[in-house]
Amino acid sequence: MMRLLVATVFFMVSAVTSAEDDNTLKALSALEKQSEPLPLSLDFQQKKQLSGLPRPLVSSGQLDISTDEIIWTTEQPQQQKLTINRQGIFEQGGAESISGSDTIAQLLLAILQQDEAVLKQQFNLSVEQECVVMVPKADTLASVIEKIHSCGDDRVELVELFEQNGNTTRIELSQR
Amino acid sequence: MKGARAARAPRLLLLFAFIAIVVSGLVMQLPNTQWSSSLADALPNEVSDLQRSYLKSQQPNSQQLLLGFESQQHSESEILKVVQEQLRQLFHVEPALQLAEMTNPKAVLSFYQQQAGRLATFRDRQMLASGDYEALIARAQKNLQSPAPVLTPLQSDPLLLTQRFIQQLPDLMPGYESHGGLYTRSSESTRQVLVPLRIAGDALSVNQSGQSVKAINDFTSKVIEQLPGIQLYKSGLLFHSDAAAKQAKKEMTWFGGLSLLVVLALLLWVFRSGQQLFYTLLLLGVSAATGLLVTLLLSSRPHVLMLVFATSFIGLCIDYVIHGFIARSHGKTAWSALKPALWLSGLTTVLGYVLLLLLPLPLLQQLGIFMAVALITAMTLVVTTLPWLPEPKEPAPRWQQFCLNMTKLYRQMRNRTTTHWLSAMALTTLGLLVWSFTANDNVRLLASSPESLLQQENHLRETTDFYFQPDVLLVAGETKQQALERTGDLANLNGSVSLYDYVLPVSEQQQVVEGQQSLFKSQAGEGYLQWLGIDAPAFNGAPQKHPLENQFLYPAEAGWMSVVRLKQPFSSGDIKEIPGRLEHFNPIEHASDALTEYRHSMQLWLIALLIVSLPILALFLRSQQSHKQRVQAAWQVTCVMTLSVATALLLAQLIQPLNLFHCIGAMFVLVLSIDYGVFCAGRLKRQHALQAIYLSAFTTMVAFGALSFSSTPAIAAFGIIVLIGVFMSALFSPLIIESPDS
Repeated sequence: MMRLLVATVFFMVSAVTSAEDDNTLKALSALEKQSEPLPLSLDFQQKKQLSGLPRPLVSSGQLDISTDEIIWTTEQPQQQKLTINRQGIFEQGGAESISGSDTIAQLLLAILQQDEAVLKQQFNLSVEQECVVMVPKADTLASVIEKIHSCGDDRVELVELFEQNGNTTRIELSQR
Repeated sequence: MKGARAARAPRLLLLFAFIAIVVSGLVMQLPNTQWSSSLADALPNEVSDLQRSYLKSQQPNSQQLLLGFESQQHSESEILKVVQEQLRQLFHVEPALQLAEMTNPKAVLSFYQQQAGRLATFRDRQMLASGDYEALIARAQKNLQSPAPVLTPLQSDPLLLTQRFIQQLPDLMPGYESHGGLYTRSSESTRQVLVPLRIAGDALSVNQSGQSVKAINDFTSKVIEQLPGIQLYKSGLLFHSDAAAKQAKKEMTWFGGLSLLVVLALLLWVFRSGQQLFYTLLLLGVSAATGLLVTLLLSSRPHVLMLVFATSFIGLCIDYVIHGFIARSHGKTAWSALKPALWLSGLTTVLGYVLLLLLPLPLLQQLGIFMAVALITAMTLVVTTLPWLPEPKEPAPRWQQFCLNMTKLYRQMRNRTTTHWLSAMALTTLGLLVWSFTANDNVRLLASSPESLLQQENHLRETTDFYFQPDVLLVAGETKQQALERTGDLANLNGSVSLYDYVLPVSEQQQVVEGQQSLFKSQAGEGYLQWLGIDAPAFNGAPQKHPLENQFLYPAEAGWMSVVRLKQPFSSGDIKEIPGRLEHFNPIEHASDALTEYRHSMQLWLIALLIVSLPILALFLRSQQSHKQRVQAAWQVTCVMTLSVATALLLAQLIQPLNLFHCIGAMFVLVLSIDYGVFCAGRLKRQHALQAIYLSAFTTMVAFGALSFSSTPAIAAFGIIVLIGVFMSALFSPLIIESPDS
């Protein structure tokens, strides 16, 4: 009886471990499908639903993604041009990055460039319907971000950022 | 015979009564004694209240350790998994060890979310104060349309002031990611996992530290076993103290054990009985206990270092007993000839220790009391109780023959010019010492750690970038808020980190709140709130304790003290110190300065004893002879004392610069030299004096000189001085011209 119990527990543990690995593999495969050759230019519409605000904050513009950086150009409601690279998020003409933005910049860069190595290192990956679900591993990131969805079949069509404080950011991407 | 026994009975009773009083006095006094242990306590006039509070706040017995694992072949998650698994076992086996989470991101973020709207960067505060509302609003709108997450609740922080404040916080763990108390950082070639640990128990306890280090070593071995090729780096005082304890144990076993065997064998061979050993132990115990009792009664807070300084008492005590036993073994005449010499050398030494009371250092004053009382007790006991013992056997014939031969040899060497060349040698050596005198009191030079441990610590220091300098700036305030406000004045100091970088004082928070209230009453502010669809914030949140407050703000003797930590060495031009309010402090420099102060005092004392002993010896030595002969004998003894101490210091500084521990050794050499000189110059037969002097010198050189081989520089310094000094003293004191009535 004891042996049977041990064997069952062992089987369940191995099943869970292999299921985790299987999920990661599926997610990596989905990310590979979503990836597109760089450089890439896209239109975006961002909807930020912040806790306590009665309506989402909507902005739209263009994204120019290359291997080294992303140029994030907002046209509505305010003109703004941001450069996102591994060193951080820079405002147009500014030599200094927005403080503390390097981590989030590296993540955005990895998500929009579909950099599998970085994503695998930073997140636990799984797949839900058409979306790759990314849950942060490190405490610092996990204290801010609950999870990130990267959705789309053969390209990234939607990136959703779920924050721990209830805020959500939905970035819809479309071919220009 | 019966009469003698009857006469001895009341004396024995008196002795037992004395011992009983001393023991009961100590039993009553010891539990009420508050011992001091830090150098700061030893120098009360040198440390300000603020610096004392800082030293108190740095609890040495709740230490932090850091372990670093580095690998090029294993992945970060692979290392993390193994380390976390083995850590669970470590904490189960050794509950005194805990993870020392350096920064808790959740707690820190939660603090700022609750304080949202009350904290703003210096630039934003300036914009608020100058009414630059449009720019602040435009910046907030731009931040809101960027893809970065919004960290603070918008209802409390509509302008994202606190969000920007969070973004410019100094990172205590730059480049590292936290994983439940472990920290990881990956580069293209190397993955690093850091394990910060804290000892909940008393890390200064040898048993506790040994046990903890063993558990940590087991833990690291298992990690290395599971992850072959992984590199381990360790940092923390615990590892150094454990290495030092192991080294000391090894040295004690080898040097201590071997020298004890040699000394015991020699004493047993010379005296052919164990009686002398037993008597020495008893004398040591009673005299030291008496000295300690008087010291405890006269000092409010005795210092433990006083006991370290008092080690020379053991040597002096053994010296008196050896002289006493040898004189007694040669009959009543020899014993009678010894007593005046014993009193003279003993009282000169006691006077020397009494001189310590004139120094302004409590530790040396306590040493003076202890040594004076213990020596008087020892001498009185030797003179009164030795005759109660059965007459000891004469020393081994071979020993007597050796000393007789030496006596003859020195007699041949002595001539009219002996005093001249003894003087010339003493003065030349002293001159050379003064000319080449090199001292260094840096505390770092006094201890030694294994090279591999130092390399590991340096590697972590160089690669992690979160070690601070020992220099700190201490800012006082009557309240926490005042201390924090005053710390704000130092905010522009390069490379400094303080609590002010993480939280603003309430007064400045209030300014931020008032500035925003004005902004939201303006047309631009009202428009912005309408755009967001919210009302103006209420700013009701009460000030809260920051999670990092315990690392920067401490209670002081009068109020509070804020500590500014520095990444770069302090430059005196950086700030203008205001005593009692803003002070620079470096505990290592402070300890080194304390040692310098003590060394200077000890040097003064050595010179004073040399100067004082000359007239005393001239007055009492060979009192029945002419004035000229007395002065000549006293001068010769002084020359031997000078020669012994100066030669020892001169040669010792070729090995390492002189420090306090050399001076402690010199103190011992000087008082032993007085003994040897006085016994040679007194009425004792020279061969009898040499039997005791050589035996005393040899046992002292073996027992204390063995310490010169210690790998701990401070102990080696003491040992080398005693080894050379006692050798020189034993070598030159027989040159002193014999007393005609010996």
